[in-house]
Amino acid sequence: MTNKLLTPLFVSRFLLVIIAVVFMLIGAVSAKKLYAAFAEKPLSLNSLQLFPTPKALPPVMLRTADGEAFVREKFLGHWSLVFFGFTSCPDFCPMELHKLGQLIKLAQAQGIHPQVIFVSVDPERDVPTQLARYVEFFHPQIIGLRGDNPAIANFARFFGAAYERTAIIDNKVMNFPAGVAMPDVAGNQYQVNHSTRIFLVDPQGRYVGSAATPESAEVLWDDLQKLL
Amino acid sequence: MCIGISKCSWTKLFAVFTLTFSATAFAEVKIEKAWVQLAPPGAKSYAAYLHLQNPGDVPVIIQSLSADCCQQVMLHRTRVKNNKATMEHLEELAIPAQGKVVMKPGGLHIMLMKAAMPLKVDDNVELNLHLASGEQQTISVPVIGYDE
Repeated sequence: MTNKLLTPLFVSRFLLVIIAVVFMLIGAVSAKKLYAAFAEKPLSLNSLQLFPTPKALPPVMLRTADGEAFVREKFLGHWSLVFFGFTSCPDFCPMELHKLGQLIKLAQAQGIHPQVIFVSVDPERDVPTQLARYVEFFHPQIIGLRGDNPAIANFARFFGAAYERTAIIDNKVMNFPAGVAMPDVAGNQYQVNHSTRIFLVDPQGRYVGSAATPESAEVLWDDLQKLL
Repeated sequence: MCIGISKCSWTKLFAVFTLTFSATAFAEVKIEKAWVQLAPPGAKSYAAYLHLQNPGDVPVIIQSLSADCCQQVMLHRTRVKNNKATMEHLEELAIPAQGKVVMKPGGLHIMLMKAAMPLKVDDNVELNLHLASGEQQTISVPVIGYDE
């Protein structure tokens, strides 16, 4: 009696099954590797740049336009976007605040409530009423902050947000660095040079990154959604 | 609509002639787009943006500007250097022959300063371009809000 198991036909079929199983295993392993590679793919952001390690916020000594103290704890529990400017700025600040106002709308449409903060670096001219109506124009939920010159300068320095003011006094161009008060003789036509970036603070109150003049609110919102 | 001179009144024809004539005599610069951006309440300065085209064979130089709404009008350019925005004042603006100058937020713009009254949406600002040739071109620029 010949052994049925050793007929050439059976052996070749058996080999085919073995080969198929091996290929399936290889397929499964490579698919798993491919998936892992996708999962580890670095976050691709268009407008935001993140730090390798976030920086915890220092104590904040600023006030809202309503006079309420705005302390560090106000940053907890939601993402915040911080922009430094001044309300007599007719070109750059309105452009960015308009984007940030739109970003609030885009986020709220999806049930997310980021905090947008506009810090005035020009407290002499940006009195509380002026600051309040300025930010409200772009979105009623934008928070306008102001404070003493040294407090503003400290907060700005933490983010690396540079600014200074220049005035022409007695036909001389005078420079007033961050933290220095503007004297009355400077009048109210002086110039403010200010940082252009939008700074991002996470819900743990840590400065995590920033965006330089995003192309649109949509571009910034796309990036922000990847971090939420 | 009048077709053929016989059916047209001479006044109409004269009006058409005057319009055509004045358009060629004064329109040294073609304005393709122009708007004044509505500013938040309390603002005393407004930014205006123009797209200017020079169809001619010689450069057109705008030496100064004036407007009916505001005491002072200046040409400014926002420059961003090392993440800091500064405002640069321009003495004059040249539109090259057959060329184009595009003003836009965050770049070249016209500053309308010391407005006598706050501007509202749909107001029109009469803006005068004082050219180096000695001519003056007046354009009407609408105030627009942010489109939602």
